[in-house]
Amino acid sequence: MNESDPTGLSWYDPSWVNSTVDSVGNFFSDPSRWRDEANYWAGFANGIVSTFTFGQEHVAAPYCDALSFAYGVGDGFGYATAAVGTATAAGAVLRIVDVSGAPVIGRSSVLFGRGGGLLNSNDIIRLGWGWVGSATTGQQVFRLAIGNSDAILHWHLDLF
Amino acid sequence: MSRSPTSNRKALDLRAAQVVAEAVGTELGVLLQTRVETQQPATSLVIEGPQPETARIILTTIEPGTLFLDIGTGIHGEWVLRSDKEVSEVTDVLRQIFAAVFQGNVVEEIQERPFGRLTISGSITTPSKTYKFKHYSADIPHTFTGTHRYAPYPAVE
Repeated sequence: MNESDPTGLSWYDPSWVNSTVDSVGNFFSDPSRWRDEANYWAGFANGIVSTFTFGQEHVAAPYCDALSFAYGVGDGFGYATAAVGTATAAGAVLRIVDVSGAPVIGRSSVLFGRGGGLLNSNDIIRLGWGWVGSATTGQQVFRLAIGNSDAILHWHLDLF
Repeated sequence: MSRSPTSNRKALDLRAAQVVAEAVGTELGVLLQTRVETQQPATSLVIEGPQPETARIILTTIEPGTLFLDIGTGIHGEWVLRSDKEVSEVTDVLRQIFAAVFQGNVVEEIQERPFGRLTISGSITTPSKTYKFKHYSADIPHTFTGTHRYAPYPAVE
């Protein structure tokens, strides 16, 4: 391959193309990269399966290396994906069904209750029932909140 | 003996906050209207200028120790209050925020997001600190998108 560009006008950068070809070639020629890839996806699957089975089921890494970095990274992304998917789906359902008075997850519940819920009463991060607007025109919201009186940033995500 | 989860909470007296807001308004020489609204389960203090271009402030308490703050279209903050010291600290923060809003030092930016969601970013600049608020919501009625600076409350003639 002639890599010269005497005019200096070509968009083609031979070094970029060659390095890409090298990377692809190395991937297929280096079994350790296959293992990393497989371990990553095993970890990703484990995050999702473990979330939805409440930790009862797990997916093992195919190369028996559940402590590998790739497995760990995939595992993290799997849990995050499951969490976001669950929150989105739950939000869609709970927009339709009024659960604000439910004893387990309602606005007076031990976990998410407004003012006293275990997950809804600390200064750093709160998950549970809140309120937006005035007494006469406002509404209950189930939200994730960060911030306190000392904080420069107050962050709120209304889930439903 | 068991304790209620909210037994160690301290409520901000909205009547006292109303007095603070009116005192700040008097100090700055601006016109404002205040009222306290109650409808179960909430009680709110509403502070607004006589013109719609000014930012309205709403403070709401429900269960003891809960305090929710809404300014303008969708700027939102909240606190959990556990002691008289925290009530005092929040009162000082509110005093600064009242003054900043009355002087027009509040900027709000609203962006529409997919699935009907909004991102509302607000900043309130006081002499000592700039408070930033970020609120993601689907249920805030809004009349504008983009960046909007609210007007100062008008001076008493």
